[in-house]
Amino acid sequence: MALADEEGSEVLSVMIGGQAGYGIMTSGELIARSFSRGGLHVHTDVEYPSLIRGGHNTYQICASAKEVSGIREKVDVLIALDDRTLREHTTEVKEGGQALFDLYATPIDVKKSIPDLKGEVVPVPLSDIVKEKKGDTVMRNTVAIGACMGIIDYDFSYLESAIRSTFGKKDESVANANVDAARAGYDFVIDKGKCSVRKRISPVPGAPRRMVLTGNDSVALGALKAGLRWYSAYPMTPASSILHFMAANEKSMGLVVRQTEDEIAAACMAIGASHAGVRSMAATSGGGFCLMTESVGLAAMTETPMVYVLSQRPGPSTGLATRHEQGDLQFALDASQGDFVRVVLAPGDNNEAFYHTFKAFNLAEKYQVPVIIISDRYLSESLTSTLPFDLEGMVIDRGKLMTEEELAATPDYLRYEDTDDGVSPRALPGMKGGMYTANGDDHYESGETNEDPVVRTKLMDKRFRKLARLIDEIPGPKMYGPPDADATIVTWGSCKGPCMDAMLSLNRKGLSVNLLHFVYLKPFPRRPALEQLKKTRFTIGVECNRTSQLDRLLREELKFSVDKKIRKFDGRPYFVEPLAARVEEAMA
Amino acid sequence: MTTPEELRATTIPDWCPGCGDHSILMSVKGAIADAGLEPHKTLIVSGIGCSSKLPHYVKTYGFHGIHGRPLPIATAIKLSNHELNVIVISGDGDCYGIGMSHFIHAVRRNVNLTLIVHDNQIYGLTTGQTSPTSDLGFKTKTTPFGAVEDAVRPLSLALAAGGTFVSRGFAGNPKHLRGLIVEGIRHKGLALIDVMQPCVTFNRVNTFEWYRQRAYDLAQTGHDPTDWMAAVEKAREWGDKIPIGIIYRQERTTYEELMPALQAGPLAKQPLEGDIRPLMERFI
Repeated sequence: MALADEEGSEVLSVMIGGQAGYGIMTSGELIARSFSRGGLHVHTDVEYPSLIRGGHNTYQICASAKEVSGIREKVDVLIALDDRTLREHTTEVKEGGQALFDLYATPIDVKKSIPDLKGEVVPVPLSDIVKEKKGDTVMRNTVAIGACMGIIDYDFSYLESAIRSTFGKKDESVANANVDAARAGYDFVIDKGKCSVRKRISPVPGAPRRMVLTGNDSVALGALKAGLRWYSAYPMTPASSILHFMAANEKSMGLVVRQTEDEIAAACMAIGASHAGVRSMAATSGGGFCLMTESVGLAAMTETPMVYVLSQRPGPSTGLATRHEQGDLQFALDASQGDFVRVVLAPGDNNEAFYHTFKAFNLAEKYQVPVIIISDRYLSESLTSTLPFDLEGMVIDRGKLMTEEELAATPDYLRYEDTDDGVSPRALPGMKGGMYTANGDDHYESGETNEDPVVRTKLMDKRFRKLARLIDEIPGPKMYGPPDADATIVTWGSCKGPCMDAMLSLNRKGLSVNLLHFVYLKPFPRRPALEQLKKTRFTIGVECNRTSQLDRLLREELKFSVDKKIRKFDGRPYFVEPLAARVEEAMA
Repeated sequence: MTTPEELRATTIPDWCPGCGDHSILMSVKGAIADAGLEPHKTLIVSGIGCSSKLPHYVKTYGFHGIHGRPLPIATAIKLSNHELNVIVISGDGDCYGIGMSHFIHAVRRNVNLTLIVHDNQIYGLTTGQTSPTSDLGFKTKTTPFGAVEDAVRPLSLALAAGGTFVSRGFAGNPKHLRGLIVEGIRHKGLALIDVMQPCVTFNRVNTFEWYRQRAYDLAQTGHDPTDWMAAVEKAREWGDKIPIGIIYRQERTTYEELMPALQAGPLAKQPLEGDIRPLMERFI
């Protein structure tokens, strides 16, 4: 990932808020796509409670000519589709910012209800414009987005193109009606002269075309690129959108996609598919992963390749069902009874989500082990502009999967043969001469159940011997930013984005900070991690959990602990400005 | 043509002498031979319990998994390679206790599997606790004053869930059972064969003799297995007389027939890599 350079990078931050059912999600996506089509980088975050209608949803979009990977606390333009948004978010509007709202859906004495607003109020008769256009009430959001593009003086054509590609797929008349509504909002703020119109961001001509997608989309694409043919899951936020994506592409990609009766069935089915030779995956969140936990050990003991996705949300129990946290790292590291080899990895952005999901399938099959990909609400659901993934050199590696010919040349085939590297050649059911029983009980090399202590020890050693080669394929943590910095931020998973932007902002202030980011956490890349940590002078751990779970891992693996810990467990991801302030404070 | 003898694995069964499981094993091997299945194209999936050791005793492919989960594992194996003949071996605890929800869902999906449940009305391998099919008042280590829960009626449940092959066998009548399993293998859809299987060590009530006195062959009574209402009546019959044989049989679309991806052949044999470029284009 290219870093934004050290020059001041202007980030435009727009927030749209309203009740669930007001089309906040679609609006946020439209705004993000409009900016992306103008050649800008975008990064978003969405906040919503666990309900269907009512409540309070917000969608925040950050756009910049430079790469942007963290959400800002302050907004330039607030689009309030209801009174509550106006009241709850006025303090987030920057000085010189603007708060746009529906003139008639908000109490008349607006100024009184938002005394803290430092910016300008922009009343727009959203409801009236929709009525004039004979549109559906929900289209207030489209009018508002049009008005927003008007007050920031952003070329309307990008919004029009975003609307057409979003709605045009379903019905051109819907697209036309929405373009019309957006245009009316745009014209209103330009023509009436009642509010200030200020160029807040400019398109970047000639910029490469970028995708606008979430971490879940990236995981799904990585899995499909890896040859995924089976996907089973039970709906659970924030993993559900993978299930939706797979179901939508079931026919075009030749998949079997099943919504199962529970997560136990989802995981066991994926194991069954993999046993039969099909690349498979099951995704869920913490609660569902609790139910899948027994299956992780089954995959390990039967040496069935398996890929899990654990998209975290705050626990314990149901916790905050639609919010963000990184509280399941320690759970994933040791989930399921007994000692066994597994891979645990946590991508930090879309590119890592795509490439490491692809790699996860190769690792699972080469080493015949379970692989757990950890995501979280923030990475799973935030849209980020990303260059189309470069597919060059991506090679599927099925490891020691046997052909019928190889099997025919192996007269005394043993499924769990004690080999030098611990990985045994794998025959698939249906192949002549390979008959064996995969066994969740410990077993002989043949697969027959074993209780003998000597054989038990031998087979445990065999399964652990995989580590010797596996560890060579595990990338160490990556250092970003200036080398030899006074302080190093140490983090993992989706904290990468906000930490990166906080680091850049501190660098611009003249502070010497860099960033060490872990993707692979098990088997733990000890040597490369130590090498990197040796270069640091002062370390600041940044995590979105209560007990600094990465730090606990560093202590266990390296007897190393960060000098200062920054933690957050309020159900929201880090905002860049306050995170930067906390890092600066920790350095003092 | 494979013979039952050729299906004998090297592992010697470690069930108690006289256990009903031995005769089920014999019947399974006989049925695989009778149905003309090729061993390498046959896969036996099991859960946990005495019953679930069975795959090790038959020379086919097998999967000995975890407690209660053979049905989801078998469902995916069947959908991933529908050229395989998949037989599921489970027990009353495995299938009607811990795995009950999978049972109902596998039946309603009509997955093309042969499901053989060793039903001995007790937990044997864990040394004698009550089971979902234990009769009311049944005394075990965990119900010293007698079971207070009414027993699960698996055949009634299967009928209610849309089962297309609902049957009962008896380990004390291996010839009948063997024929029943052949019918189950040939059935297109999920074939449930609940087998009365005496546990000679921990169940001193439901013995061979107890079952033998009650079991009667439905085929001898003029029962019409296509009559759902009659099947519902027969499925409830559990007392002085207990019917064995096919209680209900019907043709219905199977799960794998509903998966568009399988029209191009078994999933496991299709080329792995798909082109994701059109998908990426949609995000731009």
